[in-house]
Amino acid sequence: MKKQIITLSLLGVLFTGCTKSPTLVGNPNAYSTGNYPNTIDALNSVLAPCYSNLRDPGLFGFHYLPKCISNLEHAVNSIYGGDQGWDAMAGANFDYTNEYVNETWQVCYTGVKNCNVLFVGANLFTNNFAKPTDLPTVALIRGQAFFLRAYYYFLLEGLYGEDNVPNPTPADTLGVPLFAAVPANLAQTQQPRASSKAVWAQIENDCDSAAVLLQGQVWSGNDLGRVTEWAAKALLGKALVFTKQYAAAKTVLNDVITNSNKTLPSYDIARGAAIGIKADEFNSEFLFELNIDQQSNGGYGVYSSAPNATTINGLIWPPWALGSDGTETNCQPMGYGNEIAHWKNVLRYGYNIGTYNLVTNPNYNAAAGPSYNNPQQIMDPVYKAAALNVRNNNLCDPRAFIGMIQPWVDSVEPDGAHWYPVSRPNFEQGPGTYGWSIRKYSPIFNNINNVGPADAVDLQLLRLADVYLLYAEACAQTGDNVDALTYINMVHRRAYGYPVGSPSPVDYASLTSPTVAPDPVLSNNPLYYERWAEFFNEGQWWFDVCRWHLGLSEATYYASAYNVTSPLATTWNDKSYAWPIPIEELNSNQAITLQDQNPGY
Amino acid sequence: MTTKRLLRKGLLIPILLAGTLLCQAQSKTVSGTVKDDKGNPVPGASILVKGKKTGATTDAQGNFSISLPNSAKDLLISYVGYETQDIPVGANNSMVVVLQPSSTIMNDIVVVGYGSQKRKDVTGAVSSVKGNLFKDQPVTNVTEALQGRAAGVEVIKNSGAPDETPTIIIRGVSSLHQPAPLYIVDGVRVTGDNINVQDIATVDVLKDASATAIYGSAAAGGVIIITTKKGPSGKPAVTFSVRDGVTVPKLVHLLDKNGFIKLENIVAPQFFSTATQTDTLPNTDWVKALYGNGTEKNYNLSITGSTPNVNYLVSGFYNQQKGVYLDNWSNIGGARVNTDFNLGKYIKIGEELGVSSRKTSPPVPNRNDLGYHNAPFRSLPIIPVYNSDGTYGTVPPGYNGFNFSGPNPVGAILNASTIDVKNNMQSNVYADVSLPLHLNFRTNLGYDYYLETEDYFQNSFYYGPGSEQTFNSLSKDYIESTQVLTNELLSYNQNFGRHHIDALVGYEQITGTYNTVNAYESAVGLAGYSFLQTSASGLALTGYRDPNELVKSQFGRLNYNYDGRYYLALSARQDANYTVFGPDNQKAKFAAVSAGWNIGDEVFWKKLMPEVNSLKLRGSYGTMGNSNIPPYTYTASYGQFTDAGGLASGGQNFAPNGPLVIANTFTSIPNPHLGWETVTESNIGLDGEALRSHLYFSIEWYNKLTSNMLYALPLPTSSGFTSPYFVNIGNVKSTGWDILLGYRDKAGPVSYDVTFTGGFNTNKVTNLDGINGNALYDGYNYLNYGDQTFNIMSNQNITMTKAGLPFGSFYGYKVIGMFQTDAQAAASAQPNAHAGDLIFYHDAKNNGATLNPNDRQVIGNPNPKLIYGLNIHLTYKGFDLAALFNGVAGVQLFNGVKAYEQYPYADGNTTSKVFGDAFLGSNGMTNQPRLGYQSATGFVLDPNQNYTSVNSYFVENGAYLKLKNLQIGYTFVNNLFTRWGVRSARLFVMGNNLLTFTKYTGLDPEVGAAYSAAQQSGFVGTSVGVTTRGIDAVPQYPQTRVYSAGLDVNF
Repeated sequence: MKKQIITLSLLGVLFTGCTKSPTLVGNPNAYSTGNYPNTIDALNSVLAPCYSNLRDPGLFGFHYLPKCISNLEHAVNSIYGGDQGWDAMAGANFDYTNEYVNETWQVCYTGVKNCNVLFVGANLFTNNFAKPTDLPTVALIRGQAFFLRAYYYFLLEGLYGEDNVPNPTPADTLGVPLFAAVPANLAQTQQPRASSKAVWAQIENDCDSAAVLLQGQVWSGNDLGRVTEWAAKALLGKALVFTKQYAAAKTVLNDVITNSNKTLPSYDIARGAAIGIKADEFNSEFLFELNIDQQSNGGYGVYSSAPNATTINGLIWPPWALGSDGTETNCQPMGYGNEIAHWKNVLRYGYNIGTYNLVTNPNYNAAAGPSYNNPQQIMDPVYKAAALNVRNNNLCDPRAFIGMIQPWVDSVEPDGAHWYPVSRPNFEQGPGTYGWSIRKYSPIFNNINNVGPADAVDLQLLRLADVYLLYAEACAQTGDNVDALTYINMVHRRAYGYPVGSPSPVDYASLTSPTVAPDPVLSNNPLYYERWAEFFNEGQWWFDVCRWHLGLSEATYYASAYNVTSPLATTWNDKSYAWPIPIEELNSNQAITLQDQNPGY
Repeated sequence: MTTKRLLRKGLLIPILLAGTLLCQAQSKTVSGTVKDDKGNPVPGASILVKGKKTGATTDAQGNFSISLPNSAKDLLISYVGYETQDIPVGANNSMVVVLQPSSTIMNDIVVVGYGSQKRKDVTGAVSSVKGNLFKDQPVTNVTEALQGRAAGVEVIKNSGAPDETPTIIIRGVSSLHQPAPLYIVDGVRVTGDNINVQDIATVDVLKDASATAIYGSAAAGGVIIITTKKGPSGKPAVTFSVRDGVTVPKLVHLLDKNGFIKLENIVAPQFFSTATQTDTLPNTDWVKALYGNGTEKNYNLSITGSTPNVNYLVSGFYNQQKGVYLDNWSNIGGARVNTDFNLGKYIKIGEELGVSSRKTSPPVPNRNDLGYHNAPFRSLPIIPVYNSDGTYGTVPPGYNGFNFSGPNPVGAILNASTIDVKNNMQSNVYADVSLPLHLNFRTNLGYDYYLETEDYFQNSFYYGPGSEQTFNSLSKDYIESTQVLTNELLSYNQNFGRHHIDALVGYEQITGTYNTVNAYESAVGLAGYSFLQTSASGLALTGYRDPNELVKSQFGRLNYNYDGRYYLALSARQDANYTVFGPDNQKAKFAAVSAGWNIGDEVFWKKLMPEVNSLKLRGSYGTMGNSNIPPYTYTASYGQFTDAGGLASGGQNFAPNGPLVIANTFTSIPNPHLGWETVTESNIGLDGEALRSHLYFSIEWYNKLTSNMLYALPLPTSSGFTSPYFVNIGNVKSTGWDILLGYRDKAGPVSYDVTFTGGFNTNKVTNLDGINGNALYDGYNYLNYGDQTFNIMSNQNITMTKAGLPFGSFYGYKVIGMFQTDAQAAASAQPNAHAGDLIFYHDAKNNGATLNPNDRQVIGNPNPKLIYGLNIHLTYKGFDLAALFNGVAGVQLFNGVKAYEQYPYADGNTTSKVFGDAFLGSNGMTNQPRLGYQSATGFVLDPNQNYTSVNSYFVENGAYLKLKNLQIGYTFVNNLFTRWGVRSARLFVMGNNLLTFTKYTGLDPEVGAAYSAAQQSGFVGTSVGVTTRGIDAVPQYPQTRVYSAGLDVNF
């Protein structure tokens, strides 16, 4: 009997083992595309990556400015030599295998995809879950996605489109692949290069759509940094200027100038905003500003394993503090310390009193021992007085001190508590060296490693000064030199601390008046100079260099870079006005062949 | 009800049979005991009356009793694995028969899928390895134990890390998602290779489709069947063994202070050439600071025994290894209980239970991005281990701004601590019921439980500017997986005259649950493994539970043979997988057919060639499946947005310190058509023995065709999707030969057994359907794993996989010489070249005036054409000697380390080999490429990219022969021991990895697969790095030699 029971129970195993075959198994670690997003909050979650993608390490989160654009523009001079792709950017001789060429492309297109996913989600939500009262909110959400898609395409076309390459110069050139929707299958992922005109048309249409959907919306509180109608119109105006549609541009930009309620804030506010003083951010000038918090949520900046709202550009180009023993020799970078400002920028802002020498500190207190506030050697006091004179009396463009930080005259807080004199970096010291570091977007109030690492500075991606200068350019191109000069001077006056709206002693008299710049191209072109000086190290100037074909003259002016062995001018090639289509794209997209590559690659 | 009735009928049959036997007249009864050569009783031995059909079997004590007609003259006593004995009956009615082990391996039992066969009856490709061959080896996993012992089984152990599991490839690589072999322990599929090798009786490796098709979807990587020991003897046998050894690393040596300064004075003279106080600088040997000798200790105890109704094995083991790397160790302990119960004559039940727990302090996860290295190239001899104030050493100030941004290697390790614990339980209960009509029913219920936890505390650190972190952090990861397997098997086994039929049908189901949590907190309150939150803490949490794993299978097999000479076998399986493939493709069928002919048993053969006493020809053809990709890739869903940095962009806010809106988006596009990858394999084999079984051999040819290969297509980056898109495209062809050749005999008091195993293989991707530019690139010459940029060949892939090429072929510039003069260089396509630089092949016709990336070509194949092993066993009186050699041939390696050894990369160190570079210092032309040249503004490093581009200067012949293991033992058997209850004791000494014969210039030619970026992002499977094989890179735990001694005692 006992054995029978055992036997039966063992046979029972036979029947307990059968699990019913499921018809459809869902991934328990993801939301289904069939019933998500089902609330407004969920839809906002699908919008969030359209923004947060801007902080990808391959874009504004880390690499794009300090390793690509700022080197291309020679805003910075890189000492770090372990990265060929980075060095290639400093020499503007990148090829289609360059990792920054690849990742910028990839990240911008991920942004496009994220926006297109938002439209899928918005449709699903509208068709299945939305209450009538939700629809205005859905419209605002769509509007933001339209703007962001336009912004990503603006970067893509500006960098990779063939528009700026002079030879050949057909009426319409090859642009970048266009995705108006999320690809649904493999075939739809294989998109050829669209024409430049088609890409610009989509950018303009998206800006238009955004402006309509966002019309009248004013964001506040926790939504302060979301894009608005005015951001959309400003970007539209910029696109129109870039594509030389000056008349249309004037109308749109004038609308922004007249109706957006934006004004240029004071020099001090602009200077504060450049280093992340919170009271100065989201000031009266901003049109599209990406909020950056100095909080990595426990991880390594943009490599955190928890979501955050930060970037880590400051790791690469931080200022250098004097050594704790008061010497420049033992100076300390407030991050990695891979870059400083290219010394030619000091001259270009009109700072003309040369370099300094160290002298024995007459006030040195031997009993206290050497320290950062009791150094044995100091900047020659005569030089320092002259430097202060330049600064206090605006003898150079004051924007030099927004963009850069000056040894011994400026101070930083490497430990978050004590102000140390700024030092020249250990690789640019001694007679004849400037050693100015980058100030804009840099950590000033602490070593970035002590605070995350995390940057504190909002990224100003579109601001009113840009609109003014674009408007001025459109006016100049349509023969309205008076308005052109007016708006150039408004930006110029703000820099020198004069009221923006009334004439000042520093006004340019004409569109060819001399500037403080020493080089032939910028010295008699206030429009060019103002765009350079105003947007120094903001990643804008490269687009101007390309569309105005200043590559060779810029290479001639800057002459050399630490990590480039040949003189810059000898290796400049006009092909660099368009970045190559990256090899990863060519390897994976059958619709783009080597024949479709930009000229010269 | 029906079942019960059948059972009753079944119980009746033997009674009826017994009745018929009793009715026979004129008989006498003979009884006896059958023992093995060690004196243990042999249960289940077969007793046959010669020339009659009468027979009996021995009971659990080895006793038998048989009635036989008076006319009977001889009894045939046989048992599998032993020589059959012919005993004259004579007048003696009671006998003791001592069986001698069979000298023919044709009678060995081979465990095949869901059953077992005699070697003679096997028609598939199966390699067998006996457990005693690797019993005392310093190994803690089966994979390593198989190295060099099974033909066609490639085992690569490229690291001496204490918990390293080597890579195993059976019959070459045939898929980008090459599955690991399926491990079956005592009939039950288990996850991974987690068994104490001392408990293993035999390992059978199923290699061709006919052997594996019955495992269907899981079989494409081959099947490794492990049979654990049972209690074979009447009285309990206790075995205790202990082993103790020392491990010695093979290391690269870096420049010391003087060498470093000498080099600096050439390439960067501004720092030290004018310094007055270099003699006070530290002179740290970082290799010595990081590496030292390790230890290995092993203890094993097993108790086996049997009673009439119970057969049991109880064993326990503990293995303790201290790695050669600082603060690196791994200890594993475990136990096993196997029992079988006979419940009467018809029912047998039993269980197997194995548990183990491994605790490791690994050198990973990347303690401050250092990882492990065969030498810490990013370190400087002039940095002390510790500064005079006790802090971790930093670069001494005052040398004209001399700077170092790397970590302090010792600090990087000691400033962090990691404990990884892996708990594993494998259990199985079964019931085996003999049914009427020659049927047998068996059911298994297996349960696997795996729990892994890893705690990782990283302290804050400061090793100088550029290498600091001001907060500490703690990560705790938890992985739990459970698997329930049930199968039911109905088998039939019967002779009809000379016809023999052996059939099987079965149903199997596997369900699994995976559960994981990854938690992270920065700025924890106390150093250690507790989450004590502080005001500065940041938290991160991910995890999920997936209970959906479900595989359902039906299968069957039919074996037929006529007279033990002609064989035919058919097997088939249908599998359904519900989480990996789309709704259209969940089910797939796999089948195989095989045939065999025992030529040696034919009368004509015995006349023709009697020296070859056994010969079998066999062939097979069949299909196997592969589903070795992550689940749910066929579907699209919303997941939290991750970018190149990870989850940092998984949220966004819009005002200072505003709340983060969590970011969700599509992670992939769907492919509902995704289905099975199929491997079709043909196999022809010839097995035989000659010279009275002294010579034995097995030769096999196979051809594997992979079709509908699972391919993770990189989507165009413009699509915005960076995760792989899985499709079924492409074909792979893998063909080869497996050879086993052995000879064993006695020469006077010396008996010997020499076995050679060899596997020839070539693989080639034959088609990728022209999609996506055809090529998959992978492999970097990493300084730190995962950092594609900060390495000597920054951002350059080393391998390419595409149609027409073997997997992971090396790809780069082909070196065709060195420029002897500047004039020669100036006339070349290399604008920056001078004398001493490498000449790269350039196609001027197609690629323009100067060298460009299109000039790169295939420069090597990392897949060995031949893998082989040689086993030698000698015994002389009490002494025994075992030597295992293994080797590979026809293979190239990419010696990435060489680049770092001859070139000072970034702010790190190099080796004295750098001083052999052409035109360095006072050198003229040498056979090493030029390092650079002195320009007006300073030393320009490597303008021709000799060391910083992927080129064939670094591709070397990787053939080698190693003396993998040499063991010498002596067995004591004397009365003194017997008095203590000790039956025997064996003392042994051993060396592992003793000798290497190779032309390879790197540390060790046994190179596995390097870190794979493609694998990391899901484009290549995880079990074998098929696209990064043969890359010898810096981040590599050193290989080690092991010297040990041990003692086995049997009670």
